[in-house]
Amino acid sequence: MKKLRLAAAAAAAVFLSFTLSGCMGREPNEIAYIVALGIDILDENNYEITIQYANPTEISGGEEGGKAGSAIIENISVEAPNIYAAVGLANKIVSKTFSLSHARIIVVSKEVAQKGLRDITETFIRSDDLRPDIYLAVSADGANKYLSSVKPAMEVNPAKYYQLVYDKNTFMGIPIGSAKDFFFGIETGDYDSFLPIAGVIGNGDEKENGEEKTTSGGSDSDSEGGMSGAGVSEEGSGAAGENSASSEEASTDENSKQREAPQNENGFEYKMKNYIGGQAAVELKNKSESMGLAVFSGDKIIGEIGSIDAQMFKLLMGDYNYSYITLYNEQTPEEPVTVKVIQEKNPDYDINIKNKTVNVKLTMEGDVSSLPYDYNLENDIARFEANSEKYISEDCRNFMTGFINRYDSDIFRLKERCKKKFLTDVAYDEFKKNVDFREYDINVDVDFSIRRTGLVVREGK
Amino acid sequence: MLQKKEMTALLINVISVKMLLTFPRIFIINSGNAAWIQATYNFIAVFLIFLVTKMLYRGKKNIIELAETAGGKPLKIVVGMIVFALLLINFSSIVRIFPESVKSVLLQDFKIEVIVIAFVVAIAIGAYIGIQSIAKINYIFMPTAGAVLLAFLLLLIPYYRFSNLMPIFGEGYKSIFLKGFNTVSLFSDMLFLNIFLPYCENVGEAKKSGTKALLISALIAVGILAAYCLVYPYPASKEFMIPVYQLARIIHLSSFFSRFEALFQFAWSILILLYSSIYVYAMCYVWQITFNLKFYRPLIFPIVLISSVIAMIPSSMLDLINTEEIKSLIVYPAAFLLPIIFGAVSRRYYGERTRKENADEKA
Repeated sequence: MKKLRLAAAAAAAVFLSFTLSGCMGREPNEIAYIVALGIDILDENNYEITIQYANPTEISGGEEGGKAGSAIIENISVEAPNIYAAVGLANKIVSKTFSLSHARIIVVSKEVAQKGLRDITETFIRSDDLRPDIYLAVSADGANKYLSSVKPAMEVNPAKYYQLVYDKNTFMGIPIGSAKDFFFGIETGDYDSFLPIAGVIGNGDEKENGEEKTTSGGSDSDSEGGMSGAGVSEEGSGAAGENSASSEEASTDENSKQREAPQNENGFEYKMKNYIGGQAAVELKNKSESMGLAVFSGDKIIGEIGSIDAQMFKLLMGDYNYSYITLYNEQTPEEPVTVKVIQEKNPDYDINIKNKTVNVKLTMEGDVSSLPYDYNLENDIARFEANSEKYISEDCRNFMTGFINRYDSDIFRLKERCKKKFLTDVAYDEFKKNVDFREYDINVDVDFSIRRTGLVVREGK
Repeated sequence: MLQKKEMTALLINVISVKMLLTFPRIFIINSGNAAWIQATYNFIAVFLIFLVTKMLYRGKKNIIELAETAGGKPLKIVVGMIVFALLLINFSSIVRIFPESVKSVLLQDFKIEVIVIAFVVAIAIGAYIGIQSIAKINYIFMPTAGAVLLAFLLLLIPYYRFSNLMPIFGEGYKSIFLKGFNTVSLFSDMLFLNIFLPYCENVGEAKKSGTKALLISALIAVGILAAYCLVYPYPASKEFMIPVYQLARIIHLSSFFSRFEALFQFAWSILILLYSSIYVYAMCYVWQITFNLKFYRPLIFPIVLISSVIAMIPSSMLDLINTEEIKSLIVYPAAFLLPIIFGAVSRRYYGERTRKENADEKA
C-alpha cells in the first residue's frame, strides 16, 4: 500500500510538472493584442471595424528596447456586422491570433453613435475578454481616421497611451467615459451618458465656410464647438455671439478647425476657446486629440459640448479634482486672472420635487497663479472672490439650464440623486417616467475662496 | 474527531461558497438592490430556527441515528434517503455550475467534459482522504480566503456609490419579507452540523461552532451583497450570472493593480474544491450510516458518477440557473425541519436515557 501511494504521488508530480508549466493553449508570442477598436458605419447592416493592435517587436521589451510613434501599432480594417465577427475575420488575415484582453478603447463614429450604442454595449458586457472599464469615445472625423492618426510619440506602449489620454482627469482633461458607466446608464435609465470626443487635428477638409458637414439622423451638434455657445447664449451674456471677432484675428498658422472654436467672453474661462476634439492646433506628429464631450440620450448621441462646458460639467459632477481656471477681473478687463482651483468637496444637490427646484452648492478654493503685473489682487481679494463666485455660479447655472432645456438629457444624474427620496423601485420608476427637469428652477451657489497667493504676497503696491 | 474551529470553518465554507457562484443573483432578482436587507432578514430567521433547534437538541446523535432510535430501520432509511437526496440536489448544481463558470472565465479553449472530469477527480480524491483531512485543509485555507475577500471588499471602495442602494426597499417590502423568505435556503447547509455531529467532541461545542459559523457566514453574505449592490445599480445588477466574479473584474487601481480576478479565481477554485469534497464525503457518510456499511470509500465513485450525470441533465446554463431557485425551495424546508423534529426526538431519548441512568444509579 505504501509503495502504491508513493507511485501515485510520483505520477501526480510528473503530471503536474507537465501541465502546470505551460500556458495551456496559445503561447503569448502567438497572440496579437488589440489595443483599440474603431467602428464606422458602412451600410445598414455592416460596419467598418478598425482593429488597432500592438506591434510586439517594436514596443517596450522588444529586442531594441522599444520605439514610439506609428511603429508600435498596426491597423487593419474589415467589414463585419459586429466586433467579434471582425476579429474572427481579421484572424484569417494575420498570422497571430487576436486577443481583446488588452483593448483599452472603442472609438465609434458619430454616425454609429446616432444609430445607437446598445448593441456595442451588449457585446462588451457579455465578453470576458473586454474589460468593463474599457473607454468609449466618439469621433466626428470617423473612427478609422482617428485611429489612423494616433501616433503615440511619447509612449512605447500603445495601451498606456490610451490610458494616459483618457484617464487624465485634470487640467483640460475630460471626464472618464468608461463603458460600464455607459452601460449602467442605458440599462437603469437613472441617467444619460456622455463620452469624450476623439478628433483629428487639421482634419478640416470637409468643412467649408465654417459649415459642418451634415450627418444622417439630424444630430444637433454645434459647429461652433459645442454647447457653451448655445447654452450660455440663451440666458447668459452670449458667448456664441461674441466668439467670432477674436478668432478672425487668429494667426494664419492655426488650422481651420481652431478658427471655428468659439472664444469664451464669459467670466468663467474668460478668453479661452471652447474646443472639441480635433479643434486645438498642436504641432505634433500625433494628430489625434480628445476634448469636449458627446452627450447622449439613452444610447444615442444628441449633441456635443466643448472643453469649457466639460470643465463646468466636471465641477457640477464633483469630478473636477483641480485645474487652472482663467477668470474675468473687472479691474483688469483686458487681462484675465488665472487661478488654480481645487474642488475640495463634492457638490451638494438639493432637489425639491414638490417645488420643482434644484439647488447646487459648489465649494472650491483657489491659489492665484497668474495675474497682470500692475494689479495688486491682495488688496482686493474679497471683491475678487465675490466676483469669481458670481461668474462661476452664473456660468454653471446658465450651462446647466441651457443644456437641460436644449437636450432634455440627464447627464447631471438628477434622477439618480432623487433616488433616496423614494422607498421602493416602483415609486422611483414612476417618478423617472414622469419627471421633466426642464420645468425645474435651477440655481447654482458657489463658495469660492482664495487660500494662497503663490509664493508672493504683495501689499500696498 | 473534528475540533471546534475546524467544524466552524467547514460550516462557513459550505454556507458561503454558494455566494461565490450564482446564488446572489436570486437575492437581486427578488428584491433588487435591497438584497442585503433580505440576506440580513434571512439570517435573523435562520438564527431563530437555529436557537429553537439548539434548545431542543440533546446528545451527539445525528438525525439519521435518531431516526433509528425513534422508528427503527425503516425510518432510518427514509430519513437517510431524504438527507441524501437533499445533498445530491444541492451538489449536482455545483458540479455543473463551477466547471461551466471555469470554462466561461478561465479555460475557454477546453472542452467542458475535460473540466468536469478534472473537477470530479479532484473532489473524489478529496473525499477519499476523509473528513478530518478535508476539515484541516479547509481550516488552514480559510484565513487566506478571508484575506482575499477582505482585500476584495476594500479595493472596491472607490467604486461604491451609495445611491445604488436606493430606493432602500428595492422591489418592495413584500418581495423582501414574504417572497424573500425562500432564500433562507442559503443557510440550509447548516444541516452539515447535524450530519457531522458524531464527529464533534460534544454537543455543546457543536452548538458553539454552529452559532459562530452562522454569524460569520451571514456577515460574508451581507458583505458580498452590499458590495455588489453598491457597485452595480439595479436593474443592471440582476443581469450578471456570477456577481462576485463581476465585482472582481471591475477592480482597476491605476495600472499597478488590476485584473484582481486572477487572485479571486485562485481562492474561488480551492474553496469550491473543498466544498465539493465535503459534500461527496457527506453523501458517502450518510449512505454508509443509513445502510450500516463498514467502509465509505467504495461509495465515492458511484456517488460522483451519479452527481455528474444529474448535473448534466439541464441542457444549458440557462436551464440550470432557472431550476436553482426551485431546488432551493425543495431543500430548505426539509433541511431546517428535520433537525427540529429529531431535536424533539433527541430530547425524549436523552430524557429516557438520563432517567434510566439515574434509576441504575439508585439501584
